[in-house]
Amino acid sequence: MSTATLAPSSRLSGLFAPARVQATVIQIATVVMFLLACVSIDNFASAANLSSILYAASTVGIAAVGLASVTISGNLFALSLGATAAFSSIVFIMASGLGVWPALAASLLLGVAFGALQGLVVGWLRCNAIISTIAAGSLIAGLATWVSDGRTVLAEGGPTWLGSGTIVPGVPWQAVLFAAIVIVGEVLMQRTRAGWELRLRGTNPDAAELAGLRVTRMVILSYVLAGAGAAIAGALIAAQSGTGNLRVGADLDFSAIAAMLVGGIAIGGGRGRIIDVASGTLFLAVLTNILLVNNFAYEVQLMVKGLAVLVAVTAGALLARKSR
Amino acid sequence: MSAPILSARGLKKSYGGVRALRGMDIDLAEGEIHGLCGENGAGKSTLVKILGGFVMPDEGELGIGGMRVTLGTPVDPALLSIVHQELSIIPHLSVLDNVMLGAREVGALYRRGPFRAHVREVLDSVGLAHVPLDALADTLPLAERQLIEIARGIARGARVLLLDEPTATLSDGEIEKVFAVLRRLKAEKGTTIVIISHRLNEIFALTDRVTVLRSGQHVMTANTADLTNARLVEAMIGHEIHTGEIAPSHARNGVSPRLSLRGWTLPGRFAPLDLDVQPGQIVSLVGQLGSGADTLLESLVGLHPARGTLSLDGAASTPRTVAEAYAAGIAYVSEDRAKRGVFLEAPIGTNLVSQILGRVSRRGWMMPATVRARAAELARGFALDPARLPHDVSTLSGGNQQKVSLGKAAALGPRLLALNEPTRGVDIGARAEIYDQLRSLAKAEGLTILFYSTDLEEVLDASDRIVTFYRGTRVRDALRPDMDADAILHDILHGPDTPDTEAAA
Ligand SMILES: Nc1ncnc2c1ncn2[C@@H]1O[C@H](COP(=O)(O)OP(=O)(O)OP(=O)(O)O)[C@@H](O)[C@H]1O
Ligand SMILES: [Mg+2]
Repeated sequence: MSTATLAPSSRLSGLFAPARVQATVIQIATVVMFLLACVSIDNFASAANLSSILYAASTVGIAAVGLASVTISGNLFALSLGATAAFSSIVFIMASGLGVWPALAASLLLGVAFGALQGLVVGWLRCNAIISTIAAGSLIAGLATWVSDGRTVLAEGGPTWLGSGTIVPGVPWQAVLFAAIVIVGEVLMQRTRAGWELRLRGTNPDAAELAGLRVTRMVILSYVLAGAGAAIAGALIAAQSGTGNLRVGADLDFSAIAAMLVGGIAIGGGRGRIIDVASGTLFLAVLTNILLVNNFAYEVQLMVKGLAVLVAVTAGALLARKSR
Repeated sequence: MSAPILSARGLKKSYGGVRALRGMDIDLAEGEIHGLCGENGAGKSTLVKILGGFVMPDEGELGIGGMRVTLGTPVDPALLSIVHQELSIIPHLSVLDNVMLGAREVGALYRRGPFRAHVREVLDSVGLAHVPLDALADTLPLAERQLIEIARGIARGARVLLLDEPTATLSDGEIEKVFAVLRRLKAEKGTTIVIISHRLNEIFALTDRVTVLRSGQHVMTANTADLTNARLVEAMIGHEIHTGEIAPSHARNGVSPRLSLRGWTLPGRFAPLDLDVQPGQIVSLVGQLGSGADTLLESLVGLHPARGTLSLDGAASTPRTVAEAYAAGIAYVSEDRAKRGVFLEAPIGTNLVSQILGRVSRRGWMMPATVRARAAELARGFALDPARLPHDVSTLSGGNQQKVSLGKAAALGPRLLALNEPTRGVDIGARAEIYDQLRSLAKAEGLTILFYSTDLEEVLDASDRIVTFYRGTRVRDALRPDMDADAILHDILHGPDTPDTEAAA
């Protein structure tokens, strides 16, 4: 091949390569915004406020990490996360008499089962991903209503360590769980064969098929992870409030998609890392919290969140064009 | 020479650290056919994209029709249009819509009626008379999609037409038709045409002048009539290479065949066939579109549900899926590089090991050191720059992408390698390197290679044995020394001399 010269690529230039620049910018912006808020807003850095940021981030973030496996593998979005979380919150509360771990396991099982179902429909029967998950969402919501009679179920005992416990003041156990899931997810995605296959499938489904990769299995796996993520999110919300009902996770679908896209996961698949999901989640959680403590109304928060997604998607599109 | 219709000065373009063009000048005379030659990555596509305004150069000037044009903004398609190297056919649009895509005549409201007759005429002229205007593009084979792409360029009626490797997937009959159209455009409309090709016989057959690029720089411009093949090759790659010689065969005769087909058939595509191939043999399957030769090749890896028995080294193993074929030791390289051959948006290194993930991982965990070592080894074997392994395949030139596609299949270490258009778009220096690599695999490991190619020169250069097909039946099966270009052309264009075998398809 011809002797094209290559500039020595430093670690820094890698961070700002077209494929990574959005993720890097969001990471920096999150830190800067957080620090500015700490010095300029009274009580922002209080333990109570920090833990409220982390509670919000943990539930959305865990769902977004699961969802990211679907997006990265090239199937856009799963739109059944909210329904899964709602059903899971109900199951978690119903099983909470058995203790936190069994209740969590029951929720997880539910998420995995519904995820596997959607995975089979999309991966094996090759149905349209968006339509299938919308349909699944409706089915799950229906079942959840039937099981709960449409009523809110209440936990019997008092608050548990998972619902309100902190490891140090300001850092709830839920955040520890979120961090653990992010780290494990990141390592699995980057270092395992399945992670590689998932990402390759996302960049080019046809080529993945012809390369003999285990595409069907990977698609099913990605929906199982999405279902599991949504179920854990639902269980955590239920643990916080001690209630399980159909409104849990009402805007989880959009919040998770927003966190993922803002963090720098490409909608088209193949690009982005699990840590990007975490930074996108934290970015939005800090931003929302700043609006909240400054007494902006819920509508404003929604608008800002929507705007952030628009900006992220636009930036992604512009970067994709620039790299041509 | 009168004032040039297009004149570019000092074009420079870098991608990160890669200097694609380092000060390129070119002048095009009105009504000439101008060939662009150069190695893979020499900067030909980059130059063409800059001339069309699709890529913004870092420096330089460009004038078309005596006017300075703004660099980096697409030029009026009635003035200059490009047929890109990578197909831009939209699969779920009709043939008609694909041809009209981006045409200026299409107003805010797209009424197809007025354009039908014109588009039909252009399609007929490039040899697509049998394709209905309303057929969906993705139902057509790659060669026909390529012809649609060419038709789109022609239908614009541009004064300057730039074609980036338009013939890479076409066979000789189709190429002749395209060339006839181009010659007519030049003669009747005075169109200026630039054509990029790695097939030098095309350059000699068609062009008036040739410009050679090397490493992003202008090497020479000369009248085609004053050039010889050897001088052109030397200008391109800096040294001579020998082609046209019959390479020694590494077939191991007297041992049991590597591949045996018995009654192998896909009804409607190719008739029942018996075929035995020795270990180490390189066999080309040759035929026009619809001859079944390429379908036969694809059926060996389970891409078509063929019937009959296929045995590898005496053991029956009829693969039904690609994964089964790979496990059995049959690897495959697709002709559709961008869509199915490589992962454009993934690193070169990842691509090279993508079919052997099981071997570069342990209990599901990737082994980074092994991955790097394997990738570097494959890169060396297929003349790729190891320093670029971490970069995405999309940053490579077309020919180097093809090498990635080959390397990733060869990584499997197969017993039988099925190649569909193995060196599509690969420059002739690298092509020789690839053949060397394939031959050394054939020699050392007894790798058997079956390939389908529309490039007659490639068939003659690379194979030990040639099997010709016509309308689904085998015409002739002969060793390379007993074949020549005329015999092959006769077989694939006219079929066997006895007319009664034709009906089989
Ligand atoms: N988008 C890009 N990003 C990074 N590098 C690029 C990009 N496009 C081209 N290059 C590099 O620029 C150089 C010139 O590429 P170009 O595509 O012009 O080559 P070419 O002469 O058309 O080769 P081929 O015959 O293989 O098509 C190559 O080294 C290529 O890797
Ligand atoms: Mg090119």
